[in-house]
Amino acid sequence: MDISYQERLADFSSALKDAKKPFLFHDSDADGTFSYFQLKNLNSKLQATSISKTKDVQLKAFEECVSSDHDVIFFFDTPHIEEELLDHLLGQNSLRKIYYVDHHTNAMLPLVEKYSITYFNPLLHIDSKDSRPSCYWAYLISQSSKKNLPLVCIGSVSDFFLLDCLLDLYTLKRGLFDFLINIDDKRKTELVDFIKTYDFNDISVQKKRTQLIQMIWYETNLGKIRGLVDFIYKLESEHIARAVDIIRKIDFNDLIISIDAGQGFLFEDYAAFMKKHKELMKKAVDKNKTREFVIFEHKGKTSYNRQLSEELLYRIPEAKVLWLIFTKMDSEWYSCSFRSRYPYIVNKPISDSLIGLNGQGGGHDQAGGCSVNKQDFDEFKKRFVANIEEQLQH
Amino acid sequence: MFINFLNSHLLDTMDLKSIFELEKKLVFLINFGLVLLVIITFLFDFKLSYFFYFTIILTMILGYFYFKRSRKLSKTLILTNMFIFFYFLYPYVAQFLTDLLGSQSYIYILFYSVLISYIFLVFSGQHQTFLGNLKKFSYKIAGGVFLIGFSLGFLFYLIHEPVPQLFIDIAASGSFLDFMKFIVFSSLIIGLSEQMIFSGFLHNSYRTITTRWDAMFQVSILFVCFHLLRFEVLVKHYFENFATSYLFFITSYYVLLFIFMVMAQYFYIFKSKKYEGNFFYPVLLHFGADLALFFFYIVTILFL
Repeated sequence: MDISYQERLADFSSALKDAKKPFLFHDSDADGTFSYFQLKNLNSKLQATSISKTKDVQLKAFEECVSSDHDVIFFFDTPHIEEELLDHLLGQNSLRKIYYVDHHTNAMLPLVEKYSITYFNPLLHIDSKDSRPSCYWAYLISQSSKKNLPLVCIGSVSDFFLLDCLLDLYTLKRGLFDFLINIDDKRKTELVDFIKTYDFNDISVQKKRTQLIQMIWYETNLGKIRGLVDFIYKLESEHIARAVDIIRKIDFNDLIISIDAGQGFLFEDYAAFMKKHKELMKKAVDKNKTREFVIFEHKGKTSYNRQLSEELLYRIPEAKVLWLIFTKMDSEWYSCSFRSRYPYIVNKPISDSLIGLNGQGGGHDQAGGCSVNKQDFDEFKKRFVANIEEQLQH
Repeated sequence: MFINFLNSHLLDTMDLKSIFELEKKLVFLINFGLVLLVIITFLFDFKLSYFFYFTIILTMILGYFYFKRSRKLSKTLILTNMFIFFYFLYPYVAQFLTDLLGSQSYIYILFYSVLISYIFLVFSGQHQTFLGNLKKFSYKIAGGVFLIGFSLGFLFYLIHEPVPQLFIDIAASGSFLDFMKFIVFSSLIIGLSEQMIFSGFLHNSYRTITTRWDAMFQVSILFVCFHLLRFEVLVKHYFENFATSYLFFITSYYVLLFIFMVMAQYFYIFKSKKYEGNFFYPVLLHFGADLALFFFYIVTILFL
């Protein structure tokens, strides 16, 4: 007999509470990070590290962080787990249990069954249209603790969701809501009414939802925190754990003061990053103010592609398709990031334009990325531009 | 047209408003007010204990209200206020050390300044980082900073900043070499102690709550403010020597002090791809300035 998703989550909850030395692998983004913070509030013994999809990163994380006395292992918001990592985990301690929460796809299901992992994915266990973020499930697992309310709000908005937890924050912790979402009352009311009126996944109001989320991202304190958490995973790997720990322990007022002051470990680097980001953003906006198809290129040590492409959609309301190109000095490769507004799509043009060329990429309908070798870049550009222009004409 | 307006509006919003702006400014203004108050206390021979009671009560009350807003703000307010409190205990400390060691020396006060600045740096948790990134130290820049300091010292000499009588006495009584050793040592320890206070403790405290440029100007203003302690001496000195133009000299002195500290702070915080500011640059600037002032002043007295 199948169990309800509430019972399934209750299993996660008791497993974490009862664990003597639990360990968590989470995704390197705000959703994964705020999942960790909430779970840590449920069991203070929880240790964690962030991982990416890359095999080397996952195996390195295992070697450096996991010991045989970790009795329960959790995976949160990690769309891909290497089979070798699971082998190592169970090889090191065959008695340990593994729990896994994800909201991306069910692609890991075969491995979940093979390794008897306790699994929860809203797409599978609730509704195929329910992809609410991992931090929301962490909130339920931590029994909707009031302490976790602001954490789930930041994590979910950062993952592009407007969930009912924001209404709870508005009702139960109004001061904190006003601090995190520091916009004028008119827009605040508009936001609250929107969340009250529409389901989190009502696609008919997606455009309005996007505008509201972008407003929070780029105009509020919550957005500042999201930006900082996003930045952490650009740091050298040995600094990430320390940075995550700083954010977990500091209160929100002090966090915003530190971001504004830009002093000390993490905040100084973030201030420098944001300064460069703003310069590039201004340049990109000035050059492409009224364009429907925006192409912007930058060079240097650090790629700003993803942050620029996300924010340019907000800063240039006329833009329908965005293409950000980055190349490192002396590199043979261009890395590209793409964004578009519905109904324009980017993933198919990317894969079509890459056929027969030295490069790889893909993504979702409205967000994608690729790397192309410099020798083939002109051909790729010709094909991709032609494809997008055809879409724009229609 | 509308789109352009919209774009420019959106770009304006790129710089998000900082929070607690008033509270952050108030930390500096309260420190500024306390320094002014203690100077008035000294100038008018009021009882110093009143100042100490007032500082403690004010800090306790404001610290509580600040704590409700932000721990970081509260900590900065309490530490900076208490630093001012302890710093101005120096007459008592000097007296205590004089009684203890049986001799009087200006070194006691300088030593006390260094010690107390370091203790407060430890409390603020910045004692391990206040020296800056020494990997990006440059001897060429250090040399340049010293020369700039020396030139500034010459400017202070040109506006006839008075030098303590002790220096004149030593110059008159010993050999030129002994005197040179004395002014090198004194300039170094004065530079170190004052920069420990301003670049070391105060700058780093303000930096935890505000931007580097705000911290730079706030510290420079406080530096000028601390030197109001000499106001009576300066007025007397300039009035006796320059009669009607004494206001010009006093104003020039304080403007120059402000410029001097802005430069010292800049050398502490600047950043380029290859080089970065560090604590030793402002010390060198201060050392150069004091060395030049003492040197030219005494040479003028002795040889001209």
